[in-house]
Amino acid sequence: MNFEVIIHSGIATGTILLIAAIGEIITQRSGITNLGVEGMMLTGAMAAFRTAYVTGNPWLGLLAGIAAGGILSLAHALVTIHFQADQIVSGLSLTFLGTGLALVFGEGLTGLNTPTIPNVTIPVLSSIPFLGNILFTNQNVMVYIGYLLGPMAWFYLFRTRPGMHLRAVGEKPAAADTLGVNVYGVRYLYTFVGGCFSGLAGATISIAVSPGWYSSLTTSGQGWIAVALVIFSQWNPLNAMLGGYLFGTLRRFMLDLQGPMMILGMRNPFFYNHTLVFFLQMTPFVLTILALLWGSATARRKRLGAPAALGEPYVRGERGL
Amino acid sequence: MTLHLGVVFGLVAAVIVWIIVEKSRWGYRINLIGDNPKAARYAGINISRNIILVFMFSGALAGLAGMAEVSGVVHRLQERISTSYGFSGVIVAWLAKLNPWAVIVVSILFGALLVGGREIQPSGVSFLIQGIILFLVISSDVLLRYDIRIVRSEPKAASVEETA
Repeated sequence: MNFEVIIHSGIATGTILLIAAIGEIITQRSGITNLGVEGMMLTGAMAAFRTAYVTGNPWLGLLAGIAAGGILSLAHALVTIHFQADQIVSGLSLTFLGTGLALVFGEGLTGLNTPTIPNVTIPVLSSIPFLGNILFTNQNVMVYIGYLLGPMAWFYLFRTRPGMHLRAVGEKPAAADTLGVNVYGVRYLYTFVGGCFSGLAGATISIAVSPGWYSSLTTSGQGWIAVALVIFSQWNPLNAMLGGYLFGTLRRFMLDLQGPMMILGMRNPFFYNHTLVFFLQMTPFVLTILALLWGSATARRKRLGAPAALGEPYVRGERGL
Repeated sequence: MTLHLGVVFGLVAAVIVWIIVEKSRWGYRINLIGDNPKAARYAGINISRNIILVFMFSGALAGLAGMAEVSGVVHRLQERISTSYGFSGVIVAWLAKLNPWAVIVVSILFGALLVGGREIQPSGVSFLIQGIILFLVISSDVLLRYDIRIVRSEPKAASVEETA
């Protein structure tokens, strides 16, 4: 158990969570909850893997993953925005739809090898003591993209005009509408963008960070953790980065805990007693619940919180909130 | 045959839930909280307490379902006893429009779908079907809420409206 190694690969795993969580933050900021992250991630992972396998080009695979997630999210957008259906139930059915699509079209991909997105070392930055080894040495290209995504999403949301329109639509769609913002258009756009991020997160799993197709175990519930991270991060992309890396590192730590026979000079209970491993596997989800509790408590204290119109369909001319 | 006593448990549970939700004072409060939380608070109903009670009750029913599946069908404790029956339960509840009587019919039909889906390869097909069904059900609600009317407007009136 080398802590540098754990954090190094934890950041790689966390990148997956961070990309999906940022996508979901963007979607939720526009007032749409999309719980289908898990399904979109799985479809994205499958599309990326299959495309990379067929074409031999991992970058095309990445594009295919993004497109798959985005297209799938349009189903959710249509049903919740125009048909005003319950967003929670629609998101759930999107999870089923995405899982189903991924399993059907991913048939026969198990055990195959594809070209993957490469790992690179950044020349100057990697020579920074300690941090250079963890952050900039032999990390996947997607990890570096992850470093940029958080600040970029933050800047877009809080420092640009389209970002302000996006938040306005999520807080008070009627007011945004009177100011000439196209509420329906904005919601379609950012549901689609969120879906693209989910697809990218899935692609990051299957052709970059932990390459391979293991049917529904490829994502193994990470989409749900990403959704929880959104609340944990108070709908702020920078917090989502921190949360993503924290959870990624913890997941990796849980895995490493099962390996060695001795820990700190004691017999490792997780190595000798298989039943205890189940408790270890529960830990990310228990932590998710704790994170949610903590997140919503801080939200109440700071009077922050969910976008006011989150989950509310907007109908022009009808009295809303 | 995999029919077991769990069926009776399910039927009894449906009746009990119907009595609670439709006939009891507690059910009235629950419905009030769901329909209008503000009114419920003014009426002096302890919202958090009732929500926690409802969670516990439905959690208990979910536990009952798991117990019935393990002791009636699977007969041993293993990591995966179901292909996400829990999520399918949510779909069934919505298909039944949250009505306990309808749940009985819908869950039997849906069970047939799942068992049939098990025979279909690749294994994702039953997920796909469930997803599509739920999507169609929730989007069809919009047709119940609105009706389509064909309005023939006079060309002159239309132009007046445009200039106004």
